[in-house]
Amino acid sequence: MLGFLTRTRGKSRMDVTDILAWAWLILGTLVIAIPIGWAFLSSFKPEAEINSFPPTLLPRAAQELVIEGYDDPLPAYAWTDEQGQTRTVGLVRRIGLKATVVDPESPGERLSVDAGSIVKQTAIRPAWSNYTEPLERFAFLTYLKNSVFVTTVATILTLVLNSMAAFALSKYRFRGSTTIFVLMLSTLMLPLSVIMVPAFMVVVGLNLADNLWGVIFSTVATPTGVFLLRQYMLTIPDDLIEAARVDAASEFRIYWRIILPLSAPALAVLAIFSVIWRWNDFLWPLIVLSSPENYTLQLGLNAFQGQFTVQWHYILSMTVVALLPVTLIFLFLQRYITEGVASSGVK
Amino acid sequence: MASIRMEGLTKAYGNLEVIHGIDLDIEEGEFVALVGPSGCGKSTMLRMIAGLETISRGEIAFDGEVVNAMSPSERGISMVFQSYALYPHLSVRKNLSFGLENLRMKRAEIDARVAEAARMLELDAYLDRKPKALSGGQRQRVAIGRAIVRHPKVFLFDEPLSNLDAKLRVQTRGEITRLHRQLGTTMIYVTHDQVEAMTMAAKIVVLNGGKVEQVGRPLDLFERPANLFVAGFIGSPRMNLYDGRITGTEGGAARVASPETGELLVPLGGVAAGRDVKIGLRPSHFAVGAEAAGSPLLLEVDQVESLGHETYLHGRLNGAETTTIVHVQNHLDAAPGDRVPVRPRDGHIHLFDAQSGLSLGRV
Amino acid sequence: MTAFDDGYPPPGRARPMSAADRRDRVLEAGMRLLEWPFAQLQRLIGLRRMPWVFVLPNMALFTIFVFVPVLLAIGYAFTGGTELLLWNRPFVGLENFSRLLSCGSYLDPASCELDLFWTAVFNTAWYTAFNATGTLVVALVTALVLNRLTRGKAFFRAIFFYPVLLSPVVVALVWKWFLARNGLLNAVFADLMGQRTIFLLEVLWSRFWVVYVSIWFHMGFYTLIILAGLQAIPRDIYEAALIDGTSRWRQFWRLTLPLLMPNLLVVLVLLLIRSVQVFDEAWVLTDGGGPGTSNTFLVQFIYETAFATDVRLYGLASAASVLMGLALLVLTLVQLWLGKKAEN
Repeated sequence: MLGFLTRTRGKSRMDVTDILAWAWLILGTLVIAIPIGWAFLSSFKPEAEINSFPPTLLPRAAQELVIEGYDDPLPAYAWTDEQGQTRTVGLVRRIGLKATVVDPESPGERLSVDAGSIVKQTAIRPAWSNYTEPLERFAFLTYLKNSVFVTTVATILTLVLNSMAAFALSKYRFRGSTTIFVLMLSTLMLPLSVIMVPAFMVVVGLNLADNLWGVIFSTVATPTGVFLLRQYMLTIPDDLIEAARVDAASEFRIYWRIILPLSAPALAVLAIFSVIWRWNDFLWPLIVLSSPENYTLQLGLNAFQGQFTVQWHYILSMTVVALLPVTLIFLFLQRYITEGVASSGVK
Repeated sequence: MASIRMEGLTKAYGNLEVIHGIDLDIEEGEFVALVGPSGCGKSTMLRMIAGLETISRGEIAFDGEVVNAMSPSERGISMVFQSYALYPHLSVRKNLSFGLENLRMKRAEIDARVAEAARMLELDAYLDRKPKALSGGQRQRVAIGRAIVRHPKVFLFDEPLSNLDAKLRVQTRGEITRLHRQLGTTMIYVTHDQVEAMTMAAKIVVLNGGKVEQVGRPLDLFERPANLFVAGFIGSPRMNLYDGRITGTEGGAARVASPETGELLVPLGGVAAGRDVKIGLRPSHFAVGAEAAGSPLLLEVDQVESLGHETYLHGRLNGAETTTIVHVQNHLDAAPGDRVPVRPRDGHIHLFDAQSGLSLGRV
Repeated sequence: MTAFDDGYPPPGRARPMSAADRRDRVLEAGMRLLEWPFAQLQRLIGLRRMPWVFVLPNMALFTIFVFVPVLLAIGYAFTGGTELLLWNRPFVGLENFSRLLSCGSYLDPASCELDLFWTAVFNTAWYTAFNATGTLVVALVTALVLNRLTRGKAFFRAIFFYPVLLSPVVVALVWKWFLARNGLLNAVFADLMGQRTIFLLEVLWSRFWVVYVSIWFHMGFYTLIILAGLQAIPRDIYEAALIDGTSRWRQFWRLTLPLLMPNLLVVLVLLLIRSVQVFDEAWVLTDGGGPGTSNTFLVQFIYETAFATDVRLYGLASAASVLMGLALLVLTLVQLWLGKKAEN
């Protein structure tokens, strides 16, 4: 029955366990894809449609016709005349059971027809304004800039500082190196929630409260990054460093010209993770940043959705913007990420 | 080019002393091999000369100038590592020029030196390749090239041939000696392989347990080993060694006896009867077969290794337990089970004191 | 070899300059600029002290933002008042702890002085229980299914892992919309039940969806870890079992599960550690722990006590942090112990 839990390979025909396994995979894929896909499709719906129930699948909007002699575009209707022929016409007005329409082929002529003989025409049309308006009218452009700034600067600093520390901890034996390493490792599991208050005090004490640098500086010295890079650098033969010393390279040159290029795979993994961490950070920025002009995208999104009137068409579009970079990174670097996670247990 | 003098050179890791006060002089332009079994301290010693290990006590001087506190690059040395330690992300050209760039040398000069090294080592065709795309022998030449371009005062080699196959090893051995002749630079060569040391070096330093056992020209070490260790280490196959005893003295001669050799009368003075000794006989220092006809010593043959132009007999002398190896020039018809008469050649019997291991002389 | 008395053959002519050479020269010049301060330092302090120069920047930030706060956290827990700076705060001894722990009955949050804290404790407890077991089971099954795939493994692994990379706010909003009054789920629900439900405003439904979303969000990570454990089991064991005619059901219980057990235990403890810290996605999804306090968890209590009320009770929040930290410490030690046991 539950034999699908065991593994076998190389069978020739499908059996019950295969069917159950595939059912699980397909179900799982749907469970993951549907909410995201639904949010994505909905983000293109105009305000009127997003609030209608039952919902439609695709973003639709009333079709309009530009007809000579009319200043504004007219809503498009399909009119079926007495002969049973269907034409597209523009609706001028509707009074009771009678509607006045105009045929775009003969713009001068107004027709009075039965209201029952015309059907409103809609077309799939994404509401791009959902995306442009929050950036223009609300502060989302600022949030976006802040997020990009924090992510970029923090990632660069993380790579530089962590790789320097990892270099020292992997390629030198010096008094205190083990102490430092153990100290860092012991905080690997330490969650922010335990040191929220004193960490905030430190930020206030350094005059970095409500400042993007307060978010950046406190996140760059990641023990995870140092650990990951150190483990990788341990695999670089020490001979190379000695050869470089014989070659009159300064210690910095050894770091820059030998260690960094050879650690590229590990640096790439850390860079990917750092970008994702900093882009997605929520609780710490929530504590440090208080004025809206300093909000990151995540904070801005949260603040915006908490407002009294919930404007889902804007929220969803900005949600898509927030998940886009991570999704692109994942699409292109999927293999690095899953293998990095599997081998290091880092998340 | 530089002469090197070491005085009381000592290396200790905490309480563990691995090099015990070595004194050694290396002359300008000399090719010296440091040889010994693994763990004897030869690599540590080389790395101390290079400046990669700190010196616990004693001093090293290049041309009379103490270099203890100098970094490797200040000492003007070059080193070829056992693993070659080629920078895997740099092309051959960049591998060669890296050290010169670090010295802020002019580009024209760098190019000239790289070109010259490439020509000497026949690397021209590979300059733009990465080390990964080279064969073992080519990598080894790049490693040597990287050492050459710096025009060092001293070349240091740390077991440079151990990663090559047998054929390439012989060929590279020749190339390194040729290089030494051409450049005339002082070279220090670390190896565990006594054949390499014997064939390449002008002077061999035999190390064991962090101490120098003997220093000398290759043939000296072979013919007059100072002690049991050197006797056993130099020469291939190893010297046959037997437990023996001085059974009597007659004027300037002594009687030595062991189960394997029976009693031998050797011209050796200054020894007292009853002293325990070791008797050493090199495999090649036996007269065998017809040449030894009438000898009371018989080799009971267990195994015959015939290489065509020479033959090795493995067997037991006089029915004793220890295995004896005998080397015969040319082909010898022998089969396991045969008893072949043998006789140690006069003047080629080594005697060592059993307690101290020191040589009592070759007789 | 007549002109060169050092024995080296005469130098060849310099190569012409290529584009790559020019790029190298620019890079080299840039590197020299960065190298300069380090090289000066190295000259000054010597090679042996250089590693300190390399660890120092990282260590400084680490000390300031992680290590000092860890030490201060305990200090805060024993002080009162609303001042943020530790040295301005009056020492109150164990008062914060005694307030947190004063209860008529520990089984009834309403009887406690700080009923919100105990509500949060209980909420966190049930969340942890359901989330940890749920995630473990789902991740285990998914890992087993993925492991037996011969084709499409990388594809499905990626699909299941993708949500892990999303931000908690994004996940919460995606689901909030999915569960909204006009959402997709209600469209189906209305069809089947004849009426719409506002899922996140009903106590049981909201608790269900908080756990569900959490499993949805994080299971991919644990799947990967379990999958790595499964792949570490040598294949020939199964081949031997196949030759012995062992049924697949037995293979799972007698081979896979025991061999995977160390891995699963570590995953379970990791899950417990992470579950206790639940905050972000649940907070956004439930509009701050609602309905009422049905989804108010410990971290939310700490955050709101310290930062989101007019009277900022840093001491009380820190005392709660310390209690939570102790619980996490115990779990971490268990994990280290399990990890060590798994190695042997």
